[in-house]
This record gives sequence, structure tokens and C-alpha cells, in this order.
Amino acid sequence: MRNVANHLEIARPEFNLKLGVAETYDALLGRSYSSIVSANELLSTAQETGRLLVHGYAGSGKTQLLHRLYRHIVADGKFAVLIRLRDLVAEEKGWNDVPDNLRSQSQMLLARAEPPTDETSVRSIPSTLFALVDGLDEVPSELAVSVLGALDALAQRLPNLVVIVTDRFSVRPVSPETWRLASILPLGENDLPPLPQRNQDVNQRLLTIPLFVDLLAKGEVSLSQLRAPQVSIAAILNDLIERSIPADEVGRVSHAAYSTFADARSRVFAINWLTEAAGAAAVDRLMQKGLLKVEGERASFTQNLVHDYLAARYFASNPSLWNQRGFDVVSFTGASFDVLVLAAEVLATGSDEGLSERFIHQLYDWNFYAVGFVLARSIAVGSHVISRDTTLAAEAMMTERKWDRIVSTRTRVIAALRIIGDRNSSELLSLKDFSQLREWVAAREGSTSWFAAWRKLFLVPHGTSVDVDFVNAIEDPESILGWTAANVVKRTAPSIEALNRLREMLSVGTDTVRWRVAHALGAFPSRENFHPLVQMLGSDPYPWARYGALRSLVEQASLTDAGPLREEIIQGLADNVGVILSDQRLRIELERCLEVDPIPDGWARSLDPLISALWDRTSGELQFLWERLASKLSEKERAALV
Amino acid sequence: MEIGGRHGKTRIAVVTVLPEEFDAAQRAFAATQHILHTRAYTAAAPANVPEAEGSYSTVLVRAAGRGTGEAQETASRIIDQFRPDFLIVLGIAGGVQGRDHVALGDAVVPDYIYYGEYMKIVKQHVLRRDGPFDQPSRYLHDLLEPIRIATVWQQTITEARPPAEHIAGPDARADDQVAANKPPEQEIPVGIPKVLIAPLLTTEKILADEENAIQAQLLDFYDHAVAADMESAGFARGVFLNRRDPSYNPQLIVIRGVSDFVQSSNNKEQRELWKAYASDVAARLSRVLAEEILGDWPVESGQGEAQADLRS
Repeated sequence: MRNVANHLEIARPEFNLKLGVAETYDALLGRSYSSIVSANELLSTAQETGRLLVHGYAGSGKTQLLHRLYRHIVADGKFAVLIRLRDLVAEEKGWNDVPDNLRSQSQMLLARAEPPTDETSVRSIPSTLFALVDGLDEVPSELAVSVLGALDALAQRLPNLVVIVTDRFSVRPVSPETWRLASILPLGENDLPPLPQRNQDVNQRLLTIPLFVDLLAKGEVSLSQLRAPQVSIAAILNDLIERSIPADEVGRVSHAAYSTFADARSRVFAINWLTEAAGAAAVDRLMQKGLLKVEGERASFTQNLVHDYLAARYFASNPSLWNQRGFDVVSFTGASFDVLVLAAEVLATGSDEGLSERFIHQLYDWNFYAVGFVLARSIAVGSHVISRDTTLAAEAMMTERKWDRIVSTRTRVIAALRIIGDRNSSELLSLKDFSQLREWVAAREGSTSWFAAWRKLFLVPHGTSVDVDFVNAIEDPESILGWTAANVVKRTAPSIEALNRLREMLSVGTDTVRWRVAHALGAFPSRENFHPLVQMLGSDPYPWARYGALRSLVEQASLTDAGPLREEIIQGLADNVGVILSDQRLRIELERCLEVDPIPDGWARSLDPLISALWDRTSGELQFLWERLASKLSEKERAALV
Repeated sequence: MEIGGRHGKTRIAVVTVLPEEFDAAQRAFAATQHILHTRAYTAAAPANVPEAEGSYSTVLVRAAGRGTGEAQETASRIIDQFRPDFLIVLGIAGGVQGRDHVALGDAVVPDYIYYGEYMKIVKQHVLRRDGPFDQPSRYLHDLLEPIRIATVWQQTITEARPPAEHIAGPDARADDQVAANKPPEQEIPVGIPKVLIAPLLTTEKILADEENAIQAQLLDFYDHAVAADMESAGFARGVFLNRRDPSYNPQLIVIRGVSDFVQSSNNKEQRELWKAYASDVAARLSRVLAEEILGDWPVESGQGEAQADLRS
């Protein structure tokens, strides 16, 4: 362990990191911390339940925190291992090759630790062993769920094991009874090394991020750069890179950085591969400048943000990649949105304002939570990469989902609005119902023509009769307008012709249009409307269309009284459990979306054929998951009746 | 040295679900001392017994909610925190009238637990499905048997038994008829709870509707179950899932006081009336059993805040 400790990189000078501790995500995102602790005090917090998730933004010092904790633990004569999750993905025999059971997975985690260990050794340790696990956000989101499950099981089996995991800001499915949560707080005045007198009028937000204060201390960036009024993380990193390698090499390195995400789905790559892609000279210069770290045949950038920036630079300059696959690639399938933030910053500093706006709107088509994250970071950093009009529209549309029938959607949008944390989001979070939201939107003026069109569409009241022309707006190539139309249609009363048109679009629309229409049809339960959704769930080539069909089938079932129609819809879902279980995204979403509010009469009993089919087709831990879900839904229904 | 959990080591963990069950257990075990960073309580250490931090004879915890999911979580958590050797699940259950002379206020201690949700009804045919979970401990049933036969544990019940007229009515008469055909195994005076060793059925849905067809099918299918609850199989699954270490062999027992009959038309009223008494029955029987356990498996000398209290 001392050997590992001696080889860990520790940034100098060390900052006085502070962390806010909370027991629930509500408290964490609302910044209502039960305590604020230093890095070393975090160890006692983790020991309370044996499991701690530490959330922090890019550059906040998550890895450094674990390195410092490791050294502190070892210096104190105690025991620790370090597990770097990104290595698990990069290895040839990686996580995906491990049998899908908690025992094998947890064995692998311990075997890949630094230093490697196993359960027998851990049991023999006379005191606590801290397992410091770095980078939950550096593995694809579906893997992150199973890694967390394995760590939880490991802690359950080994009472002397304490697990501390770092992650970006994201609401993870962990029990508040067993997991403590913490958030790395921005550096305060007293946490910084000595700096010249600061001017309160200029942007100092980057000085709250440890990475940039570290670069400042090393002389890699200047105080004037960090203080520039229109500063962005991308601009600082761009300057750092362009001072390290010639401009013509930056393009090749950026392409290579993107390709590691696309091809290896990892931040670790073969050095030979980078040398071939970017050239030996570029690789040498990156190493000399301390931006690239090589261990044997494998390499990685010393800072995740540097890798992210390079990938973002390539991604931003290739609009043809701004689609589902591209967004999945740079976000590790939704696990980390940092590349997207940086790409937005790159585009915002470019000359084509329209391109920047287009990027955000394309992003909205893929995942509106990602837009929320980009918005939150740009507000925190002060780079303001999203226009005021888009910000207003995106925040209002998220807020409407506060009253979504599917409970997990409500939870996620509330979390997103809290993370954004601007004045708008505070106001929006306090709104009690949709009529208050309408008033709020009606009082806002925009500066673009699309905003005027959006506002008019958004303000259409519930129950309005709409015709074919109206529902055709779902096809709008402008994603925010198209999605708004889909949302608004759900709260209107479409004519028979309009419903026919919606069903027609299910078969002739583009990928995105099919997804939007599937979303809209969730509000209109009928045999005519659920049959095409069942068909779409079973065979649509576009995964997000299947995802939309799944949610809408659940929504339709929950909108009907207990009886034949609900039974048929549930049976339609049950007939497709094979499809649902073969796609992790669908499986996780089904687990989430079955909890609806208000919970209809006989809901839990109605779901029996579906839960039964899921149970029949799975084994082991997944069977227990369905049992727990059935139990939870029964309990919710009972509580609602009381 | 015994391996403890994250917050210490307990010989026995007593788990409950409803507030009334917890209150009854807290009185029976004098478990009023909260254990920091947990949901658990234990008895305050007597002044003449030296305290050993994190070592307990008994801890008491209430599940955060109802249903098998919460029960499973609770069992896992208590094992994570205190690694109990014995788990006693105590609380109330609905009796299945007409089976084994079960009466309101009796204690049912299942020797087998069924989980009704595995059953699948297809075109009027009932198909059985099974999933793994622990079954009640043979060892603990052996310890319980002399207690059952001695019939003195009932003297420790402190809660007043609801008046006899509340048992009367069509339900009670039906029970009497069944009882007349098959004499009870053990002669217990009327009004004194007896201990029934018989299977119990766990379902996620409250069985409380005499006319519900699914309930009728369930009760027909599990024709030996004398009582039904909503959590026991969940606790048992939690124990099963934590059997991942050959050196850890937790023993589970479920003790339920009968608060109502699942087929009764006035099931809810019955439960409200009998809940406190049935909880006390389960808690007092559990306490007597706990003393027997600690007689066999004392907490190591100098440790254990409540052992002196429990054995006194």
C-alpha cells in the first residue's frame, strides 16, 4: 500500500477541499447539507453506513481527493485500496466479460484494485479497509449501475469494508439507508493559495475549480485569463493545448481523442494507436508537457478534462456527428455530459451563432436532461453558452414534466432544475400547477421568431380541440418546437383525423418524429392507439422510438380503468419482455416508469402478467429486482388508498 | 473473536413493521436506547454491567415501510450493521379462519413460509412458481417447543385482551363449528392465546376481502396456510441473500399474533381492535424465546448491555 501511495500524483499546493454531506438527493441538490466536512473527515462520514458517493463536476478534484485520502489512510497505519473504474472498461477482459452475478463482479473489482486483493484477505484485516473507487462517470451508464450494485454487495458481505466512490452530478439509484452522499463544494476565499487582490467585478468562477487554481499555481494559466469576463473552460484548455502542440497536430489529436470514446468506449487507449493517429511528434510533445501519461503499452490523458476538451473540439466541428450515436459516444451513453458542455463552449466562442444554437437544439432532441446539465455548468462557470430564449424554453418544458404521470420523470426534472440553480429554475420549482407555469411563460418575451412561435404553442391550454395541421407540428425540424408540439398534443383533444394522422406518422416519420409521436400517443389510450405502439416496441429500428413506445404504453395503461383495455395493454408489454430485457435502457426505464401518480385502482394487480413474464424470463438478482418492484408498487397503491 | 457488522455485533435482531408492533416489542425488550447512525434500538445498559461498545444481546428495528421489498432491505441492513446470529420477525398476521383452530389473539409461528406472488393464474389454472428464500430455523423451533408446551409465557402479556363479545358473530361461530369437528392438539382455556406451528402465506396484497376471487384462489392453493402477512417472505429473502459466507449462519423465526381473519367481512375493524393485543402476544412470546436463545448462546463475558436485563 505504501508503494501505491508513493506513486499517487498529488497536486501542490493542496487545497482545503470542503464537502457537503447529505442523506438524500433532495437535500444534496437543494444544498441542505447535514454537515460540511474536510476531506479527511469524510472517512468518518463514510464509516457511518460503509458506502459513500462523492459527486463533483469536472475539474473539481475528485481523483485528487481519493489520492489524498489514500495517502492519509496509509500514513495513519490503516488500510486502503484504489480502484480506477476506467481501467475496468479499457481492459481486454473487462467488466463485460465477467459473469452477471454480484459475486463475480465484486471479485473482479477487488482483483483489479491497487494493490490487488480478495475477500479472504479483506476479512483477515483487523480493522477497516477503505476501497476508494474513482470514476463512476467514466464508464457507460449501464455499467455504472451494475458496478454500484456490486460495490453495495461487497460492502454488505464485508462489514470491515468502507466504499467511497466518485461520480459526476447524477442521481444514482442508491438507498438512502445505506449510502451517504457528498458533494465537493467550490473552493472558497480561504481555500486558495495567495493571489493578487481580486476585483469583484470580473469573472472569478473558475477560481472555485481546483483544476484551474492548480494550473494557475503551476504557471500554466494566468490570473488574467481566468478573470476574463467571457472566459470558458474550453478557452483555457484550448490555450493550454495550443501552447503544447502545433495547430496542425491539434486537429489530429482531437480526432484521436474522440475516437477513443467511439471505438474503445474508454479514456484509456493503446499508445501505438495514438502514435499512428496523431503522429510520434505530437505524442512526445504531449508527454513532455505532462498532458499524456503512458504506462506500458497503455496511455491516458493526465486530466480527464483535457481528453474531454480534445474530443469536444472534434465533436463540435463535425455537425454530422450530432445525432443519437454521436451523443451516446461522447457521453458514455448518458453517464457524463462534460464533453457536451465543452463542445457547447467551443461553439459559443465560434463565429457562427446559429451553429451553436443548432447544437443545443439537436442535443435537446437526444436528451433534455443533457441540455439542463450544459445550462447548469455554463451558469456556474459564467460562460453562458445557451441563449436566453433557449434557456427559457428548455426550463419551462422541463417544468411541465414536474406534473408528469410517471414519477421518475418528475424526480429527474426536479433534480435537473435544482442543479441548474438559476433564478428561473428557483421560480419554476416553486410553481404549484400548470396554470401558474402558463402565467410564468406568458410573462416572458423572447428575441427570436422561433421563441414567439414556441411560446404561442406552449400556451395552448388543456383540452383544446386540435386538428391535423396542429399535430403536424410534431414533424417540425426545429427540435424544441417539435417536442413542444408533442407535449402540447398530449394535453389537447385531437380530432379523429388528427389521431389518424398521428398513427400514420408512426410509420412514415423520421426516427425522431416517430419517437415524438409515440410520446404524444401515451395520453390517448385506445385499441387503435396501443396496437401500433406495441408493434413499435417490438420492432422499430430506432432505440429511442422503442423507448418512447414503452413509456407511452405504461402511460396508456395507467390512464384506463381496471378492465379489458388495461389488461390488453399490459399483455402487449408482457408479450415484448424479450425485447425489453435485451436492451438495458428499456429494462431500466420499465423499472422506473411503472410507478405512476395518481396510482390507478388495481394497478399493482393489473401488472401481475407483466411482472410474472419478466420474472419468468430472468434469473438471480434480476428476479429479486422484479419482486422488489412488485412489492413497492403494491405498497404505493395501498398507501394511496389509505 | 466473533465477526460483527458495521455498527457492532448482536446476538439477536428483532424486526417489526407496524408502529404498534414496534411499540409492543420496545416494551417487551425494554429497547429504548437508540444506536447512533442506525434505525436500531437496544436496552440501556444496567449500571452494574460493564459496557462493551458495539456489543449487544438484542437490537430492535422497524422496517421503513410495508411489503416484502422493504422487509428484504431491512433484513439486509440489520445484517450489514449488526450481523445478528438470530432474527426474530414479530408482528401481526391475518388468520385463515377454520384452519387448525386458529383464533384471534393466537400466536402463529410458521414452520414454512409460502410466497403467494410466485403463483401465476393462467386461464383459471394456478401455476406454481418458486424463488429462493430462507425458511424458519429448525433450531429455533426446537427452542420454542418447550415454551409452547409449558403455557406460562402467556402470563407475561400486559395488553388487555379485547372483550369476548368482539369475537362473537358469524365468524366465530363458523370457527367453533370447525373446532367441534377436529379437537385442538393442545387444551388451552378459552381466552388464552395458543401457539400454532403451521405454514404462513406472504403476499404483497392485503388479504381482507371475503368475496375476492383471487384471494379465494390463493387460500385454496395454499390450503395449509393458517395465517397470511405481507413481509415474512421478504425478511426471509433478505436473510437468504446474505448467506454468502460459510462462517455466517443466521437463524430466522417469525412470530405473528393473529389480529383478524382474512375472510371476515369486518376484517378491518377486527384488526383495529386486536392489533395492540396481537402485537403484545407476539412480542412477549418473542421475548421469552430470546431468553432461551441467550441461555444457549450467551454474549461473551463483559459484553452485552441488555443480557443481564433479559436473563433477570
